[in-house]
Amino acid sequence: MNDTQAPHPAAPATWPGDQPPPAHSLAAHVLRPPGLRWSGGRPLVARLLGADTQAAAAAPGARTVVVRQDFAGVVADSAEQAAQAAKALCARWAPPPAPDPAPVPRRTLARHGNAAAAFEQAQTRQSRRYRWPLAGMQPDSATCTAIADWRDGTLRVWLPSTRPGALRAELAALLDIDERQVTLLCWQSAHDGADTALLAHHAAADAALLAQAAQACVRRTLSAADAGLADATLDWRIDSAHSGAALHAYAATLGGTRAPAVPLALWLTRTAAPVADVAEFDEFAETIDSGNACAPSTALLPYRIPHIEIHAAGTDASAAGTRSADGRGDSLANARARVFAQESHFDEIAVGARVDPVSLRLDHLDDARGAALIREVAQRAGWSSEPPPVRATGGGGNVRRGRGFAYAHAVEDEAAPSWSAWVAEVEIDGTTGELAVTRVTVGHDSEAAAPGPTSATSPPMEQLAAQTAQQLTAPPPAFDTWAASGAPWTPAASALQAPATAALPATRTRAPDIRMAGALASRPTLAAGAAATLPAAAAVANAIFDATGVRLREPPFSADRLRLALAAQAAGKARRRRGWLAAGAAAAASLCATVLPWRAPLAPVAPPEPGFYSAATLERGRLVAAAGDCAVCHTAPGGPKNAGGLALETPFGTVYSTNITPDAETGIGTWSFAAFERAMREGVHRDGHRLYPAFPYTAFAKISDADLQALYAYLMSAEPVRATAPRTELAFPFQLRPLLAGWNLLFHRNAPFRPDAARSPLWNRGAYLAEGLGHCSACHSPRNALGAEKGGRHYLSGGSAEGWEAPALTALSRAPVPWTEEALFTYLRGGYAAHHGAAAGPMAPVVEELTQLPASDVQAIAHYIASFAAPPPAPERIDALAAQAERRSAQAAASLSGPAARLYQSACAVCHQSGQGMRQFGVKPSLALNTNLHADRPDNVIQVLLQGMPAPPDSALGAMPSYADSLDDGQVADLARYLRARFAPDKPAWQDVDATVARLRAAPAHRP
Amino acid sequence: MNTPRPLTLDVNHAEHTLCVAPDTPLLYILRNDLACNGPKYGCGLGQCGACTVLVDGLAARACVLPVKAVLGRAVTTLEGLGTPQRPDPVQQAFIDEQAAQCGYCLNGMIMTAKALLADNPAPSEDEIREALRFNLCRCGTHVEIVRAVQRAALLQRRNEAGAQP
Repeated sequence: MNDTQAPHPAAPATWPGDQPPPAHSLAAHVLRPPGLRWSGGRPLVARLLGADTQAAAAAPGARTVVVRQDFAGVVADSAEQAAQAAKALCARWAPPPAPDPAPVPRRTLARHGNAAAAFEQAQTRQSRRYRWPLAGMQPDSATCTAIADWRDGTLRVWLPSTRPGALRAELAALLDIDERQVTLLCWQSAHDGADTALLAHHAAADAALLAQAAQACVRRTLSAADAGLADATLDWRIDSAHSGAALHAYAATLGGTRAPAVPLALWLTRTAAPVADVAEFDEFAETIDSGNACAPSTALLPYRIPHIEIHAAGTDASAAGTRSADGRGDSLANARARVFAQESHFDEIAVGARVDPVSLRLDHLDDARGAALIREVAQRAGWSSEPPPVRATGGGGNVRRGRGFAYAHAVEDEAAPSWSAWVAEVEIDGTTGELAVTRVTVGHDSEAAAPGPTSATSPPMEQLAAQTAQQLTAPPPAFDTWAASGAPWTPAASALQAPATAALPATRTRAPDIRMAGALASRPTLAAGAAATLPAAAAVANAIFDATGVRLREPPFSADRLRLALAAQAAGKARRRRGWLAAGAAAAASLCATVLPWRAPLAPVAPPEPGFYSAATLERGRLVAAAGDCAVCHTAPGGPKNAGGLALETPFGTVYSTNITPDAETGIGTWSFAAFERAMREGVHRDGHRLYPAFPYTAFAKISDADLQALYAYLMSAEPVRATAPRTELAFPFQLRPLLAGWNLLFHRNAPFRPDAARSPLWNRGAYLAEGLGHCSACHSPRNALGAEKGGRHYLSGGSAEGWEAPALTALSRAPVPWTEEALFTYLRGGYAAHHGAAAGPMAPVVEELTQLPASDVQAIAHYIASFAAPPPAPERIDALAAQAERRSAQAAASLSGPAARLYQSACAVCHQSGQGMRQFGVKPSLALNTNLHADRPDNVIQVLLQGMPAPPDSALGAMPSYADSLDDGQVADLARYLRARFAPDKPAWQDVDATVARLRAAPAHRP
Repeated sequence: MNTPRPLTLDVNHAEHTLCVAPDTPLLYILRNDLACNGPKYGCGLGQCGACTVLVDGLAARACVLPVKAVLGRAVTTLEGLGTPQRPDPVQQAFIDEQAAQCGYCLNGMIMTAKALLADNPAPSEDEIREALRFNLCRCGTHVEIVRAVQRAALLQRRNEAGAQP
């Protein structure tokens, strides 16, 4: 064990009261690099290119300006002045670096028995994913403050941490002084509400650096967003197998963003971190791996299960979960995330097995002290009796009540174990999703001898429990929520500020009724330890499920989230209730309707009034439209958005997209929702004529009702554009639209998307987006002679679109390096994957639309698509394959020469020869790894040569010029043949390259 | 959409708002609208390097880069390096070594060298040759250019050492 874990011997133990921070301190403002976030324990820091330090130093009130590598900070008399001075810096930043696409390795934290084998034999297996916001429930408003005082060559730092661990060494390294010159003092600002373990060391390092530069006492207040952690989440994926009420196997994997252990200021100034955390973790992992039983893992999983496996992504100590190696930890956030995932999962198992969740836990618990606490809490909460009595409320008829149980066992400060159990009771308004935690029964037992040194400022247990319960149900920040940095701290404002609880939404001021149980319950108020609230989130989530049947796997449990989940659940139930007979009848009815060659026109309606739809609906509609790529096809080159007129080449002739803005005459302004829905699901125009399946209603039929309504709202609320698209005139017999009735009968199934219960929610979300809105298969599946997508084994096996080849997304992919889920995500998110190339042609605008979606949805699509590919090889194997392809191409290059080689040298090498020349703005995509050069047909390579890539989805990728006007057909063909021979030497030469060049040059381009 | 619209560019630490088509090559805007004639029009295909500018400190070929790609990024042209009175160390080195004949390629040579030295303050001769590999010069002043870059590295290091307290 490394000595940084214990307090440094030379460190004087100091406690609040000993030395309060000086009354007067200067305010600090530190610039946050744009796009700051953390990946694999390291920040993605944009390079600071320049800053006007003179202007900042001249700003009113400014005392000191520090610019060191990528760190830029200002010290001023007040926070307001510091912010103004920082603005005067006019910092210029390079674009933030992209995360390393290499997959993160996984470490085993605990293993017992053989979980993999148990899962294979298991009959009932559950796989679930839980997410926990690393920065807590209100990451934007909660702040953390540290004060640093530099005087006579010594540094004193006041910060809210009792176990500063490695921080002294880090501050000493940062300031280039001896560790003995650093004194850390425990103190917490009354205005702070953030998780101190997550932010205190970042605040302290900023304060220290600026205090030394200013030779003064400096106060630094930061929020999770300032440290790039506002959106970070911890993800637990849990698999379990059980038969009846007996659990056989349990496997859990921790992923997501790890709380950074090394202060941001060290990264920004590029100071080497003096303390390596890895060694400690290795030791920890080994004790478990050596197989000496469950003992160390009770902190990771308190239950007795024959087969256990617990992993964490990443290799460093901060991923270790319950272990707080140096007290800095993410330990508390990690413990909360772990308990939330584990206890939610146990509740899901109990529901699946139809057993009482409390007895399920007791059945798997060896720990007598924990079992006693659970029994006491259950008894005090009246758990064994009937459901809680119905109380009269003013909430109307749709109030649902439920209760949930959760248990936690953790190792607290000084390795003292603690036990806690919660029963939460909730009331939910089934219409609005409003949620109130009405009563909480808390039990807590701990071996920690005396209340910790922070108890003086800690709220009593009852208050803490109430606060925790309320925070869990607060809504997540809305788009118009301002970050804490927007309101600079001033003494006047702080005097008026009410305690943190008053900041909660007014609608949820009803505090729950708190009842205490457990070994410490006899005290009037418990000394609140954070461990006592560990089970809170799971208990509330389980109560919500008990009340509504809706499972929320990510806090906070806001009214918005709950309302959406309730609506989705209601839609699902309505379909199930119909029964097979009714469903058969409905199918028959829709079948009849589909065959009718003519459909009745639906009456025109007046467009909805402006402001008719709520902002939430319109926002949802915007995302639906982005996922559906409406604008990609319904916008003509250079034309107004969604006004139609784009020419789509099909084997049957040119189809022009229509105007879908709400213009009454030329657009869809008079379409009722019924007409819109019929068009989207059945391919019938409002006036009754049939739409060609170039409009992918075959896919859109799968869109959920709620999404379709939101899309309608969004489209109808857009600005109407008067624009008549050219008429689509196909050759005989395709101009006979009624024939499409027969086509639909053969090829169209009008059925909404049904999730596959055997698959994970992530997969189902991806399937919904990819099969329905995203209509991936419209381009990436082959079509038959009648232009219908082929399904089954042909699904996503490659197709074509607008003169481009849409490559196979399945195991048939020709990519020299197999696509992985991570590579797909990177590609779909940013338009470029290092081992594959960039999104060009019609895929570029698709990626551009996808940028509007949340990352989780793009992740879901990647996850779903990856499930069709062959299992991905190990990361080392992927690197080896890439290296092999590069080597092969280098060998081939040596044997090639002639005019085409010179053409390549002059036209392509400057940007594509990654090993040569200068680093440039944009990427240098490797051609040896490019999927298109390994494809069976040269179409995409020729298309890119002719059209270039004038508008990659992310401008940081650079751009590729068009060679249509500088190379003639013969040169393009020669170059294409050369590229094939050089970069895909193992593939046969392409056929008909000259004819393809001539054909593609003649075809109109999607975008100019 | 390639219809002209107001775009704000950051060129040589100053903001310029111009009504231009977003797909226009950056070089045209720099030369025609902002009168920055340091970057030269050579081949117009990103091949000769005469048009090189710095985008966020990285070398970029302005003739093939659409102007929309540099929105929100800092563009530096030859004019942004130094003035005749106070030339940048790289410019000074090229003057000292008289590393030009016709001088058309010089903008690209200087800007690429500037980007190289930001990445690698002390490049070897091979590294200099490799970095300038795709900058074409028809007059054959390559030997002087390599010497100029070596001198620039020296000057820059000396300046930095002098600037520190």
